[in-house]
Order: sequence, then structure tokens, then C-alpha cells
Amino acid sequence: VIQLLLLLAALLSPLALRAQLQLYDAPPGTTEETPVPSLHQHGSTGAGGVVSRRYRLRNIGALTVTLTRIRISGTGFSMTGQPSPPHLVTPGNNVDFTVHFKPLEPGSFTGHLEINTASYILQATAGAAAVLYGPDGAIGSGSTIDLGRTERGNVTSASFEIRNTTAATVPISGPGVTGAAFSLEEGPPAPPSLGPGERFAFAVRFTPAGAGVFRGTLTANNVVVQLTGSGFEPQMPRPFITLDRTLLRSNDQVRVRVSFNEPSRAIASGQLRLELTPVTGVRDADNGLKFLPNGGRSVPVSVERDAAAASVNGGADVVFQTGTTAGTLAVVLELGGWTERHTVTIAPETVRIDSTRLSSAGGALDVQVNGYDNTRSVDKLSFTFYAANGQPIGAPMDVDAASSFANWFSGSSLGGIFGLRARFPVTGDVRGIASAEVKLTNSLGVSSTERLTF
Amino acid sequence: MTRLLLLALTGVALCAAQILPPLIGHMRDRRGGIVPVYGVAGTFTLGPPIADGIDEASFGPDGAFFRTAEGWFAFGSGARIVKLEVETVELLLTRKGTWMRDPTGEQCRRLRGTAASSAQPCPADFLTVEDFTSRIELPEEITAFERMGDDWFVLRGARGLYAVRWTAGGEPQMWQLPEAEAEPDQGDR
Repeated sequence: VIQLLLLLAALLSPLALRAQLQLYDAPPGTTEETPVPSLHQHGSTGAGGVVSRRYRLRNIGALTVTLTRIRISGTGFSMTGQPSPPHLVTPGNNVDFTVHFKPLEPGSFTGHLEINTASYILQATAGAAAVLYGPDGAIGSGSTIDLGRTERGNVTSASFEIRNTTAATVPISGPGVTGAAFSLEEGPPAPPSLGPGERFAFAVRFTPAGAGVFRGTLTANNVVVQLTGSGFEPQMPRPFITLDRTLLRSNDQVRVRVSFNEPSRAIASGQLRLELTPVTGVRDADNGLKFLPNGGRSVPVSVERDAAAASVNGGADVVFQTGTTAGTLAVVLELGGWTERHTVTIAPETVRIDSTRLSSAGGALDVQVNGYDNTRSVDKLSFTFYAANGQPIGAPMDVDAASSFANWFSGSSLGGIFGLRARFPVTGDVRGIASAEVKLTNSLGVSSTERLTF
Repeated sequence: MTRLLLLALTGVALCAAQILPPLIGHMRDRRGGIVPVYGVAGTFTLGPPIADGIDEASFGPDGAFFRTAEGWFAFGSGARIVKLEVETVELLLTRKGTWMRDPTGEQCRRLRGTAASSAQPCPADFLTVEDFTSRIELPEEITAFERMGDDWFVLRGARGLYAVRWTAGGEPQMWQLPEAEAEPDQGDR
């Protein structure tokens, strides 16, 4: 029994678990797997270069193993793609990761790879070669150089050198960059080699075409460096809303434009919108307040580089209708971080009459009055009919129209617009009536039609 | 007599009053739909389309006329649409009337309701684009015009549609027209 317990304990010990994990050298793009011994040649490169090698950790046992440690140490060595412990590796499954060797100086190097309780010695060498130096010192392949934030239209430069710190003449390869926002500053071409102590200097330019993060690469002397930089739009000058008139009233068509005191270096887009605050007691149900021709209360606005004015709804300006509601009208611009408001008062008015018609048919008179009441407070109508000699036929007929108009305005989306139709059956000869006049009264006073004739 | 009239007027005034959306007329929108135009001069609102596939149209005191791929039609009273048996491609407008020029180019037919008159010599007062452009300042080149309603015309430009009211004895006045209406649920109403 004791022997059996000891055997069981041995099977469950870390030693037993370790035995189930096998490390392989597994080059990407192949199915090749070569077991890695405890002392392994990782590779060699020139100083400043990189040797990246993929390794595979496979569970070759019948039990699940917990990966509790996986790390590498040693100058020039680093690791990517490894799981974060604790990590379960089920039987037959594997874990892949990559070890990088990036020497900055020539010499022999040793990396120490630890996997649970097992350890591997990775040996690597760096030959004599020129080294690439960036703004913060020597850099190797896979490094990232951030050129910082740059305003669109401006340039940020970073200086680099290829230095030969060895005692021998070494060949070098000149710099090249990729990425639309990156370029090499003009200068003499790189020599084919550098003597002991010699250096070749060059600079990389970052010129962002707009806002955003830009990426590229710098390849110099077989070292590939990632380049990044972020661009941002320049501050847009304060925009101004300009209307083609200063005093606005209901039923106006107004032309509006957006301009600057100086050309805008910024490229931006935003919107121009109309906000109505009706006078007390009046609701905002006014389809007449809108931009033309799109029929909405907002239109897009955009600014191109060096423009002295914004494009409003695709043109130099845009027209809007002020509608037929008294109150406060704000033209609001949101553009390039600015919010500008141009506020005007739409004053309450007496009823405005747009068109009229007097007609007769079937022994009746029809009176038609189209207009608007921007206070929506019409409460009284008064009709006066005139004979051919111009004299009124009796007293004016007053009609209490408050509830009729209130009902109309409460259900209409046309703001203060109305079309009044009144029919007057006539007993007798309708030709005895030559003209008519209509008065409409709202909270501001009385409006009268002209003398209507047939 | 006068007293009789007055009594009759006084007795029925309240019963026969109606308030309605003022209809200015109809116009052909950019997509070939016919839409009613409501409002007053300076504040226009479009109603929903009542027809589609319209290539040319005229709405006025003589009635409604429109051309589709199948030919010319008249929209008469009682919501009756009648195909006009005329062979013409040219619609002509005077200040108050709508005419069609016969293929001969010499004779014209006045359109009224759902019928066309017999051929007669063409009147000399047809409106042209120049009649408008010489009287009002326009924001752009006008390529065509159509009748929208009594005294109302639509001038068509590349950037906008323009309403012109030209009443008898007066000078034409112009405003820009909406070409669409925002959906009510856009939250801006």
C-alpha cells in the first residue's frame, strides 16, 4: 500500500507534470517540430538585427497540465505570444510563442527560458556591425519610434544615425521608409560602408495629412523600426454666422452664410440648425420654419483648408424660411469645436393677409382669405359687404372665431398659416353686392383686407 | 332689396366658415412626383406626392395637365384622369391659359378641364424664360418653368426650384421652394 501511495504521489508531483510538456522549435509556415534540448542555439545576427524564433510547448501526456510560469531573461532576449499563467494545457494541445533576440552590440549572449520548473539555455551571437541610433539611443529591429503629435500641414523630424562602433570597416545599407505620412529628409546618400568610428546621419519626416494615427516603417542597416505619429487638425478660427438682413420677421426667406476673419487652416464638418422658442402660449408646430431646399431644420456645414468661408449645404450659402410663429429664433452653428448662436426675435404681429378672393356661385358669396397669425390668437372676424355705389350694406357682421381658429392651430403643423373660407347664402340678386371687406382681430390688433371684388 | 340681402348674410355667416390649409398649387418635384404646395408667399410646405412618373406638368385655372411616358393627361373634376388624344410635345403657357402646339407648329389648342379645343392660330403672348429673367433677379440660370397654380409658376434651376407669383397688373415676385420635407420623426419639430 505504501508503495502504491508513493507511486501515486510521484505521478501527481510537478516533476511528473513537467514531464508531460515538451518544447519544440516550430518555424512558422511549416509543420516541422524539432525537440529543443536544455542548451539550444537560438541563432545569430549582426548587432542591431533580430532573430525571432517560434517555439511550441506541447502536452504529450494524458493529463491536463497547468502552465504556471513561462518567461525569458537575458540581455537582448524578449518573448511575445505566450499565454498568461496560470494556463491549462490539455493533453495533445500546444502553446506557441516567439522568442526574439535583438542585440544592440556585438558579442555572445545567453537567454534563460523558464517553463514551470524546467529551464532552457538559449545561446545567440551578434556579429560586428554598425548600429542604428535613434533619438533615445541604440535601437534594434521591432522597436517603435513615436514621432509624437503633429498638426496637419506641419512637419516633425526625428534624427537617426548608423554608427560603426567596431574596430573594423563594416558594410551598411541605407535607410528607407514606408507609410504615406513618413519620408526621408533630403541629404547625401548612405555610403556602402563605415570605417571604425564613422557614422552616417539621416532624418525621418512626419507630415500627417489629417487627424489620426499614422504608421510606417524605417529600415536602416537591416534593422526594421516601426514608426508612429499622430496628426491633428489645426484650430479653426472662430466662425461667424451672417444673415442677409438684420431684422427678421415671420414669413421671411433669409440667406445665411458662415465665414471667418481669416482663412481656416482646419478642415472640419458640422451643422447649422434652426431652434425656435415660441412666445408664451404658442407651441412649436411650424413646418414652415426650415432650410431650403432640403426642408429640414439642419443642414451640413464643412470647411476646406484655407477656405475663407464654410460650405453650407454644399453651397456658399443657404436659404431658410422663418416660418409663421412669433418667438425667438436661433441659428446655431456647430463647427470645428465652436458653437455659435445668432439669435433674432420674431416679433408678434397682427394677422398678415397673403391672398384673398371673392366669388359667387349658386346664389352664394364665397370669401376666401389666406394668411397667417404668428401669435395664433385670432378671435374675431368681421365681414362688410358693399353695394355697387360703394356704400356698406348694413352693419359689419362680427363673428366670434376664437374657438374655430384655436382648433385649427392646435391641429395644424403649418404654424400660424390658415386658409379661411366663408360662404354666405344670399336670398335675392347676388349681383347687388359688389365688394366685400374682411377684418381679422388677434391679440395685437386688427388687420383688414383690401376691398375685395369679383 | 338691400335689406333682404343683409338679413340673409347675417343669418348664415357662422355656419359656413371653414379653415383649411391654403393650397397654392401643385408642382413636379425633382423625382417626377406631383406634390401639393401649401402655405403663403414666403412660407411653403409640400404635401405628400399624389402621382409619380411625371415628365412635365401644368396646374392652373384651366385644370391640371401632365405628361408621362404614355402621353399627355388631364386631371379633371371628380378626380377623373383623361388621356388627351393630341400629338404634340410642346406645352405653352400664357399668363392665364395653357396651350399645346400642334406638330405643324402653326396651330395651337387651348386646354380646358379635360379637353383640348380645336386647332386655332397660336396666340402671341406665350411666356418664355426670358419673360421671367428680364423682370426678376434670379440666383441662377433657369432652364424651364411650369405653372403651379393660379398666378403661380415654378422656375427650375440646377440648384433650386423657385416659386413666382405673377398677379394681373403686378410684377412677378420670387421665393425659393422647398424640394423635400423632413420626416416628422426626425426630432426637429
